[in-house]
Amino acid sequence: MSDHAPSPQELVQITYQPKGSTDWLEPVATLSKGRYCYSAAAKNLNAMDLPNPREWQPFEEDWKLPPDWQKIILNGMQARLKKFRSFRLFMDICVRCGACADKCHFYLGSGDPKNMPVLRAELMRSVYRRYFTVAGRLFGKWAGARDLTVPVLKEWFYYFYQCTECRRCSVFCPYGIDTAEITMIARELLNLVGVNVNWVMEPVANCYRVGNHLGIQPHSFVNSIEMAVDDIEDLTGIRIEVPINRNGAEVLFVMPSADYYGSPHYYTLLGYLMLFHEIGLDYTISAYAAEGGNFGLFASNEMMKQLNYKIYAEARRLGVKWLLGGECGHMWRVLNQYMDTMNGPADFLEVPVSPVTGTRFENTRSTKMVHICEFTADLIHQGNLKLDPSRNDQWRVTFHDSCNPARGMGLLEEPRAIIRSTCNQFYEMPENTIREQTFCCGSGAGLGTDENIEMRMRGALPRANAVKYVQQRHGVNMLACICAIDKATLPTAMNYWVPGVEVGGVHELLGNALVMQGEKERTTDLRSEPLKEKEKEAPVHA
Amino acid sequence: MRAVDNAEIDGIAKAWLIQVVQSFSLQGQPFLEQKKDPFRNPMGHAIQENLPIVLQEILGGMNRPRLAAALEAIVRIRAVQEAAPSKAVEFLFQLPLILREQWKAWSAEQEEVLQHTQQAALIAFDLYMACREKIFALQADEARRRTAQLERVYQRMEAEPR
Repeated sequence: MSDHAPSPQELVQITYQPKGSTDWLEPVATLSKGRYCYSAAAKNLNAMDLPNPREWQPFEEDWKLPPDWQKIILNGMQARLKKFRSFRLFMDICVRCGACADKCHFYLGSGDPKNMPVLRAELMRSVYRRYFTVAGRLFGKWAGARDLTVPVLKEWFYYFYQCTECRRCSVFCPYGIDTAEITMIARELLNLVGVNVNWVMEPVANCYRVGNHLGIQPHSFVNSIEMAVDDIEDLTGIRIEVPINRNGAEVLFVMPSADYYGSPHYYTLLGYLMLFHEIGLDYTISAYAAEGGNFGLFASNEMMKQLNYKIYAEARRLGVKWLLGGECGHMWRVLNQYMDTMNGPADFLEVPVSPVTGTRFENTRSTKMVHICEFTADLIHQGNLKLDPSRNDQWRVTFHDSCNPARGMGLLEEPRAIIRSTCNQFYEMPENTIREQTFCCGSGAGLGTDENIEMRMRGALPRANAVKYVQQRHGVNMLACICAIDKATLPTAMNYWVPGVEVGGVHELLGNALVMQGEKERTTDLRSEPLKEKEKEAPVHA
Repeated sequence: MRAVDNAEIDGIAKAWLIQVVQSFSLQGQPFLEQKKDPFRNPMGHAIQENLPIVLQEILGGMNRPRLAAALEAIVRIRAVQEAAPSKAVEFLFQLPLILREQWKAWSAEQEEVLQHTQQAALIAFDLYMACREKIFALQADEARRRTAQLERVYQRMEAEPR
């Protein structure tokens, strides 16, 4: 409901053209620096045999498009309208009710009307109308249709890379239009003429060639894991073993590669490894399936399928029974929603059963892949872990629901159950900023690069604003999350908007609290920071 | 200086808010002005909350910490929306025009208000610059963090005898 009911006098004065604004059908004239990502390097397109590899940048006038670029895009659009019923439906069905308009974090942080999900989608619908509907062909602009011109193409690039495919807008759409899928199609079409960003295409090329986003060779991967084993020994006095590429293990564990090269992700890795040791899990990690993340999702469905293939292939090669996956966002969108239909059926695997609790994860009957939070929450719920939450007393924690696990797979309670058992101080952010309504970090879907930082900070404003609320009210100093992109980019956003709030993984908190058999007395947390001294017990009076 | 009552401050604040919001975002204007929920409308809320504080201080005691905190909440947002400082702090230069219209006769004692506005603008420029510098520092920091553990791995490899 509107907070302001206009009077009849006000109503008759309404104009549909806000003062001083331009017609939305006119494409934006300039692309402002700090609000777009740099182009994909030719070597990365060559590595994947993608069209039109060349050196170019979005700030240059000439984007070096192929001569028949218009035809390529329109043919691509036609093919996709035929192939994806959802795309055709999303092009036709929107009634422009505006329910999504104020739900996008980029709109809330920028005020730019073309960041409203409805208007962003209209940038494509207008072209669809012009070439694929009778009304658009006959009446053009009067039917909200426009020609596909170079400025329109540039505008697509600008705004479809100002969408993190977080799907918050879709939650509010009465027709269930998934705006993320419109963005996905737009990016696929742009890829056909070689208009893509390096922060997506380089990880894609690296992943294809070596198996992970940074292109880390297998021996460096092994070194990273060995370093983690050493760090755990320093912390706990326990020398653990981490099996790599072990044939015949029960479980293959797949994580986002940032867990073994980035910070603060690394502390989450320590948490996983300590947990697996403590429960005696029969598992292996793989130097080949060493990346759960899949930037193919941000390029095209074919690319996503290609990069995802290694997960089941490695599970088959190693002869494992089921799959366990680490803390990651878009990785789970692919694993949970697309993997079984793209590269399945996983009929060579078994329905996952926890070897410790005996819980059968029926929800993963199709994919055979369990989320680490489901697995750990079950262990805690059944009383199989000894935990000392006071080891997290330095943290006053709030939880950021990462878009993909929350909206994509409904993983809402499990991480909270872990946090409640491992921390004494946990505070929720306001209701309309968490769970299904969670605000994106503003850097997902391949936008998390440094040249795009202004856009990212705008996008992070709604999330940061909610964090600030719990910081002021409860002294929150830790934003826990279960997404590798969150862990990479939210520290920057927090530092800008809410200084004093750190970012960490849920399994980092678990690693801190986990009491391991035979461990030495811990003096620091996983970050090597001294533990908060326990308050002395009150003297007992006779 | 002429005493300004609360009703008058409210009137000026309202007129200023409309102008500020107009200069921030044309089509988002009704939304920024009207939605009161701080979580549904963080930018509008920051402006609605802090603009009256800025106004009170400029018309009143010029309590610098209070003024700076209110300005900071607005400028921090503008610093990632407008790369040009002139655009980012433009809203302060809109105020004297509104006051002239509101007060009609411009007495000598009200010149003080102009001076206050200028002082506030200087504070806003400094805040804007601090925000931009912070962004550059964060970019560098993020690049380091992204491969922090990998750097440790390579350092260990170099330190170990082959």
